[in-house]
Amino acid sequence: MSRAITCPSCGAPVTFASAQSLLAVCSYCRATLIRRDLDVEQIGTMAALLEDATPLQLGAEGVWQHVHFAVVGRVQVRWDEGQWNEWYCLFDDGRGGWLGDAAGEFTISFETSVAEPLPSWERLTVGTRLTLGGVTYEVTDRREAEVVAGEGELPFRLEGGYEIAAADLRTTTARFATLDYSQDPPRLYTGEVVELAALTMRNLREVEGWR
Amino acid sequence: MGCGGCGAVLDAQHPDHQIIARYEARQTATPRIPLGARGALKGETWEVIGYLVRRTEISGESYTWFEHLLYNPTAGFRWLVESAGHWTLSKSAAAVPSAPAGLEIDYLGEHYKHFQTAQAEIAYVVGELPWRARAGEKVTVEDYVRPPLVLTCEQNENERTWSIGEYVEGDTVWDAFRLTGAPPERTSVGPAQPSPYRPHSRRMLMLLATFVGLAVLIHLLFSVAAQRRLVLDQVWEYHPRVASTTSVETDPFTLTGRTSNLMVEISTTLAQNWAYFTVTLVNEDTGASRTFGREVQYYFGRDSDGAWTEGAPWDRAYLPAVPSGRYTLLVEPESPTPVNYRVRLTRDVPRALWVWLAIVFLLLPPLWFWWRQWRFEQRRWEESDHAMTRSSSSSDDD
Repeated sequence: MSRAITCPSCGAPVTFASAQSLLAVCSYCRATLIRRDLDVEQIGTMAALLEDATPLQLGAEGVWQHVHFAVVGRVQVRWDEGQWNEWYCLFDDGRGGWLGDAAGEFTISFETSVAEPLPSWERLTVGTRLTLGGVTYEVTDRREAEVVAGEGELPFRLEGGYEIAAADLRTTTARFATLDYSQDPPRLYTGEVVELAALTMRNLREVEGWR
Repeated sequence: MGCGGCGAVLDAQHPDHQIIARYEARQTATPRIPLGARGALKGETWEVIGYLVRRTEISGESYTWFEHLLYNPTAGFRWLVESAGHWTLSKSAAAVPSAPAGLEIDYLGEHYKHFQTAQAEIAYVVGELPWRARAGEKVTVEDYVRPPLVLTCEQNENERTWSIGEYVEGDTVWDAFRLTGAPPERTSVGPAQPSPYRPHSRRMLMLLATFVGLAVLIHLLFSVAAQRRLVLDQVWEYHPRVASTTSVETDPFTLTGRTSNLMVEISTTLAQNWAYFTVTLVNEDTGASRTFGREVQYYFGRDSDGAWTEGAPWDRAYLPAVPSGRYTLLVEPESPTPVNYRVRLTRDVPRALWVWLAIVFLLLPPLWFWWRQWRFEQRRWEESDHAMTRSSSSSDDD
């Protein structure tokens, strides 16, 4: 599956580890590359990431529900009162999922479609109950934010400064969902709240002063 | 982040670390656990990176508590909170609790009881926080307890967050962070403080049930083994003016078996009158005697409330611990009226009285225990919105 190409901007090797990945950011020159049938096209240069204290990094690996995954991409987002990361992960069963990393709270979720119509952004408020795919969720967080930057490979186009709107939902049994309103129609991701320690992570980032 | 030196709050997200608020610049608060200290709690190493002093007012009185923000790169953040000497370690809740039903709420299948709802504001902040915290910021805090756990909801107009905390002993905190001196003295009972009695409550009940069962079993065994033998059944007539009837004596009879009781039953033909029987049991072999008196009275009638009776025309008494041997019985009646009476003696009659006494005695330790347990809970809930009783003296601490 993995496909190595050469960055048209600087000539450094860039890898598309997944056929599902549409976009990759060159780790040397930050060129934003879009995959075409046989080649890649540079659509711009990715903004710089802000420094944060995340323990995750590209190349980290873990196991969730007995399936191994590798972290291949990242979207960093900033809002009024903080910032968080969505890490794009490739699972060995072929799925691409997201490891959310918000102020020490971690979640794993996958894009899902449900029969129910998704509510409009205006109708969502914290505390709202929603039934999606037969599961009742409560909106625990609703925020407008801005993409800082991305790195690695991602399943969609992305650029820094892009405005997003997203809501987090939880159930009484620690199931988790995100509604992403940055595109129309909105996208639904469902999964669960996790402890990083339970994912038997390897190759985590060394945080200064911690081993 | 809050600067410990001057009280300014810097916005760590922006590269220029712009000052977003400055407050209580003159006031400095020293965290109980210094910023930068590391300690191991619940199997993780934590660093104290931030400190908040929070304040609430409950019926005119101001309460302050202290929150240490702990950080570990992979485990995230925890709050180590100290309030009146009681510590809890809390983290954000992974699930949302169910909607409160009355004063209860469910979280991951367990019931939590509402403890308190209060308006809390940040009085002081120092160190580093992953989000902005401003002095004066107000939230509504609701606590639900299931000792040693406490479920806390903090909400304002924009958000509602739940966290789940567990009670930690002050000594554990002190050991974890290798602090000098002693942890702050705790007052009363903490909302999430585990009851020292509760874990033993079931065992107490089991012990009680076992001993009561044993007492009943022993009684049953004695009942089965009891002789219940009628040794004397004799009828006399008494006449107040016939001297020979004022004192009668039986023929000798024999009591056998182990030392046990003797049931003395006197039945009479009394009506609207009384009689007094002085009874003496004489051991023919040793000459030892035991004397006791029994009064029999029986009245009845009818008044505005209907029929009534008082007393009974018969009486029953037990003479305990009577050794085996040859005995005679001396009966000396007294009465204003002639009376026919019958005396029956039964050897070795099992008595339920002893079982009841044993049960009362056996109940004493558990009752004391349960009272202590109740008092503990009462002191816990005294501090809540739902005091169990309004007690004027809440000063008996231990």
